[in-house]
Amino acid sequence: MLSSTKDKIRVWATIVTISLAGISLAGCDELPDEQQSIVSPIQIHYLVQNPLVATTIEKSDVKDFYESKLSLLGFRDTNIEKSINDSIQKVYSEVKDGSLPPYRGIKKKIPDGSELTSNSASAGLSYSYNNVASIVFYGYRNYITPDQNGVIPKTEEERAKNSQYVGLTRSLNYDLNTGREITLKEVFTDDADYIKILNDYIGNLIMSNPIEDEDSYGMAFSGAKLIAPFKGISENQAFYLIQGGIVLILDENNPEFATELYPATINIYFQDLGDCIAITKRFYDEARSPFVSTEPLVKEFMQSSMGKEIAKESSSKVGHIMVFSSVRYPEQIPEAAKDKIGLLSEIDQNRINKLNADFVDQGQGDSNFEQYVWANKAGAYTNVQRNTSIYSEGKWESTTDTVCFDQDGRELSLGDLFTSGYDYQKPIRKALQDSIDQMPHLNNKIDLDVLMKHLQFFMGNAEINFYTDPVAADANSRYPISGGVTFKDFGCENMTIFKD
Amino acid sequence: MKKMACLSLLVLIIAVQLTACSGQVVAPVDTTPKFTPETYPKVDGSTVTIPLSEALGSKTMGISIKEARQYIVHNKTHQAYLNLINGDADLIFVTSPSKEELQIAKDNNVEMEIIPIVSEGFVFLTSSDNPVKGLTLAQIQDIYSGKTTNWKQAGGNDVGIMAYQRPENSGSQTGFLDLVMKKVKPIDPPIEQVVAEMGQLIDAVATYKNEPDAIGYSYYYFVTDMWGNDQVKLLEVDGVYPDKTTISSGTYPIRTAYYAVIRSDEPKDSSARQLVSWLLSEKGQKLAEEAGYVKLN
Repeated sequence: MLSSTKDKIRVWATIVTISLAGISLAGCDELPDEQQSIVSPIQIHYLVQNPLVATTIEKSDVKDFYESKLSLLGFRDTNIEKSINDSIQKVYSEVKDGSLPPYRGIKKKIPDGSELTSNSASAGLSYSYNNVASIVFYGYRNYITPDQNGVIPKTEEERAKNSQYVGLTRSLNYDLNTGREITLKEVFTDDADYIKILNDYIGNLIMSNPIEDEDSYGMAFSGAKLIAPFKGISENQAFYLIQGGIVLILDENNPEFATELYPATINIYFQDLGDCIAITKRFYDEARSPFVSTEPLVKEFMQSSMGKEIAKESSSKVGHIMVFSSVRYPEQIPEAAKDKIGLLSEIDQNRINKLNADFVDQGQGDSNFEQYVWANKAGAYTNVQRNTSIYSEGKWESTTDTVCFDQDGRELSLGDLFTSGYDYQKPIRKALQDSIDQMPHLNNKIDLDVLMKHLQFFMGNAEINFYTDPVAADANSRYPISGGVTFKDFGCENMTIFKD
Repeated sequence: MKKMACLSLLVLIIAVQLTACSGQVVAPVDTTPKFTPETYPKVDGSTVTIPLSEALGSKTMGISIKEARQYIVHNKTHQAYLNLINGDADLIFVTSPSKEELQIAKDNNVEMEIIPIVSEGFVFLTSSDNPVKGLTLAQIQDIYSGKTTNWKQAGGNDVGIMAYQRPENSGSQTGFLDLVMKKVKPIDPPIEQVVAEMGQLIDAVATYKNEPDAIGYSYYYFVTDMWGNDQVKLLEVDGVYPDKTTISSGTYPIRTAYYAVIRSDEPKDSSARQLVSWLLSEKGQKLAEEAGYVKLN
């Protein structure tokens, strides 16, 4: 059943996360903050993954028809589970087999009598945290349109010329406590004028993207053109959630944007909308879970935008050395991190002098010294990283330096991230060993105990990445070994970084 | 006799009133051309005229805007001209032709009729915090040629002027050069580094930031009714504020138009000519105005 000559069906289940140990439902008669007023400011320090089982069934056939169906499992209340899955199936069927949306120009571009040549539909979880889930459905269809005589062309060349692609995007956003669809308004706190907040954001975006000029490409609008004044979105604006933000779907219901025969999107980081995002507080209560899982909670930091960015680049030639320097970091980071950036971005003149002194012209051109210093944020933490690469006379050396700061500007050591007594070295060693195992040429040359003594780390949103000092990979190259360990693998209960 | 005369007059009045009430005499003839999606002329055009095309299609096909929208395809200005010249379009709604497009028409022995259908104004904007109410055209040229660098020289605060421009070859930059600067050479635009798709930093013409030192420009159609324009102020030019009345009447000095363009060999009673004639009628102009455009004077 799972495999035939025409059909190939793959079934796979992904446990998105596992959680909620020792939770008692006693005394939890009310749903999370359902009747309470949710007001700003709300600081979202981290997200908690929903311990859902997302099952996807994929199916394709030789005629280029493809399906990817989604089911969500793992609810305590099977009625809620059924209701959600029924709705997912309904929207999926509409995307797959429903009539074409009333896009601008669609009846001209795909007239009656066009031949459907491919049809794909997929559904996937775009967001699944704190008892809220967004499901996005994508449909792709291709048609061959009739020629001037109303006949479908036969030759490959003519068919390619008359080929017309249509894309559909639909979404469902659920409160998983109740199985009810959530509205755009509920994403925001009760005291927030969410329409104005979003319209102000889009208005500013339009001002900084000349998308009314028909030959410009507005990257922030996925190429959509503004063909009439933007007067604002409506309460029914289509949207879905992603980790760290919201995506507005610009489709046939946003006619001021010319989007061709497929929707465009605007991705907005929650961070850029202020402290009025209610989705964690409105729907989540750690003491009450709608899921059957009793595994420990898995947490992640919310993805954030760089915000206003400071960026500088310079290049120069010093003797035989081409020197390139790049510095990029968000303006809103602790002063201590900025000071560190200042220190790390200084070019090591002694190193340049030595490279010049050692330079022997072997006909391979000048040497290169490239230095990239940058910073980013993960939750309340700021990473500063410097990558230096030197190419000289056929040899390459790369080094990585990282420093992690907390929100008070305190430089963190690895031990600061874990609870006392937890053996964090073990999973780190495993991750680095896995990296080494993937580089067979390094085997037996590496002393992991030595490397573990000078370990540097970089905080991600769902994992910590580790870097060693450079090691000799072969006669001509040296670079650090790196590996990542997810918060889940460490066990969030063993970490000190998730503070409310 | 006198009684008879009075009676006759009364009968006449009643008859006239009855006739008027029946509507047989005073009912205006509906001159709106009627089409079906199948008989609608092949229309093309620029992106900015899509809403006009949709309103026109809706009216003349007797269907809703949402329905009409599905039959409207505009392939952008240059392609629309090529389609008209090649016979793939009967009527296009566009800005005026470039020298290149005129040459292509000539090379193909196509004569074009270029008919203004709605007015458009080229407007300058500043932050609503800027105390300057207006500028003369000469002052604008001085700002953009680098002669005037401080708002104080234009009656404003003692702050430098950040004169934003648009990317080269964009529609509004072309309008700026043709309608405003004419033979005056503009200074280089402010440049900013932006992150390109591959993540690298590239230099780009800085986009307008609505701060007290800023001046920028756009077409009136896009600025009017745009969300957030309460923080933006349109400047008077030569003492005239840009609005629908002043742009339509021509008292606002920086004015242009959108055009209907047809091939000159288009038959007299063709559907394309019928559409243009109706658009130029009072009802047509009202429809254009309702779609957000500025009617012709």
